[in-house]
Amino acid sequence: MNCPEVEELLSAYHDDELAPDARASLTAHLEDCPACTGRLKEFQALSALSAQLHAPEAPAHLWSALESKLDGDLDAEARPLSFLGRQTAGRLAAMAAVLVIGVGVAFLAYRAWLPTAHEERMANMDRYLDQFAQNPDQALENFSARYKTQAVSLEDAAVLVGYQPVAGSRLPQGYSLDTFQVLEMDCCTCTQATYKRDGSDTLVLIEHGPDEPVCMGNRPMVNCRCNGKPTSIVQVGDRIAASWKAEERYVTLVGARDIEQVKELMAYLDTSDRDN
Amino acid sequence: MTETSAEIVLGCQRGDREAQRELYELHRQKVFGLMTRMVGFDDAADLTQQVFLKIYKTIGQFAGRSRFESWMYRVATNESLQHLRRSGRAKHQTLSHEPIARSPSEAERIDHKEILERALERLDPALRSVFLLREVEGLSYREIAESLDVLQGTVGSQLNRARRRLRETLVELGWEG
Repeated sequence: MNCPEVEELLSAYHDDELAPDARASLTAHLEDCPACTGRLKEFQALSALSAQLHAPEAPAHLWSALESKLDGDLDAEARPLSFLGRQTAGRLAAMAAVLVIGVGVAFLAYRAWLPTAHEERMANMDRYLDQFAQNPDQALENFSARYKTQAVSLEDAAVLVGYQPVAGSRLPQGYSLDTFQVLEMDCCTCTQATYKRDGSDTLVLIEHGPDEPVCMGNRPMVNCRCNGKPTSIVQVGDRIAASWKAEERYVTLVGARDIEQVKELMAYLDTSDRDN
Repeated sequence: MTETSAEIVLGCQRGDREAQRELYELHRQKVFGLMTRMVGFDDAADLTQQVFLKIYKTIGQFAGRSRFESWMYRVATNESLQHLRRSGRAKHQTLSHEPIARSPSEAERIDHKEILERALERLDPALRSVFLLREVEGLSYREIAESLDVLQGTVGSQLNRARRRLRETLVELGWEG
């Protein structure tokens, strides 16, 4: 091999992508060519430097933002005006576009200073979690006061929401179901179960519909796997809140001591052996 | 390279949300890292979302003839190159970086890393993508060829050019390696 041929194959040699014959031939050239050997060393130094590049951490909120967009895409429907003539459809579309733009500009100006429903939901959840960290019972009272709330039995809840809530599952020893309510929130009708552990610790389990992605406020979120399930975790004072998917719905547990407690409860709540 | 199970791919093709989330969890770090290097830290989150949305939307076109990861990297690279073209940054422009704390004891190591990051910014985006797929993502030439839809022989030539240009820039920026 000569130097131009070696130069052409140098990256492949450095990356161990050459066939054995070509590799042997190039190696033989390098033994007698300081210039090509020098160029190879430059590639090696560059690779060593590249190894120092660290991968920045992906933001924790990305999934919920992505999921919101996925849900938005599902809602959008295209209705072609194929039953009209092409010109009529075109003129109508142009008129509609002008009208929409005019209304849209006015609406956007108005909306610019109003929080969106999503932003408001996030802010409400933040307030709830902040208060829960200080005084869980007060937080529950305020949260329930914000929405139309009904204390119901598990059987009645199943009729109201159309599914058997996971709150009806058997519980580990030391836990007891304190209250059970159905809440009509802005997003959906949810169930809220309050548990007491050893008579004092308060934990809350909120179960909400399949169309509602995780809403745990505007706080840093960690995504991990608990018992094999993708789970989102946020800090609530010295406790945590965790959210995961149970069957087709999302379940949020607030007030767990740590991930081990989340896993413990998740294992019980996700069984099919539910109390009726 | 992390393997994506056929089960996850099939689930995503059916629009199953759990499968979509599993796919996301499996690859979000890789995609975000590549986007950071290609378009800068400020735009990386948006581009990462865009990449996954594109993946979910077009995953029905993935016929399994190559590894899923190669196809995923193709989507990611295309999205980043299109973004750079749209924003007029197809040629060199300063990319934003993740803010890092600097201490005197780490100064030398961070300087080399920063010099490389600056040199990468100056590299033509197409060459940058080849370099990153090889040096950072660790793809083989075959996988890079599948990801970029080029011939395998072209990968070696492009890496030669990328490495030579990077080295020239690094030396200009004061690297003595």
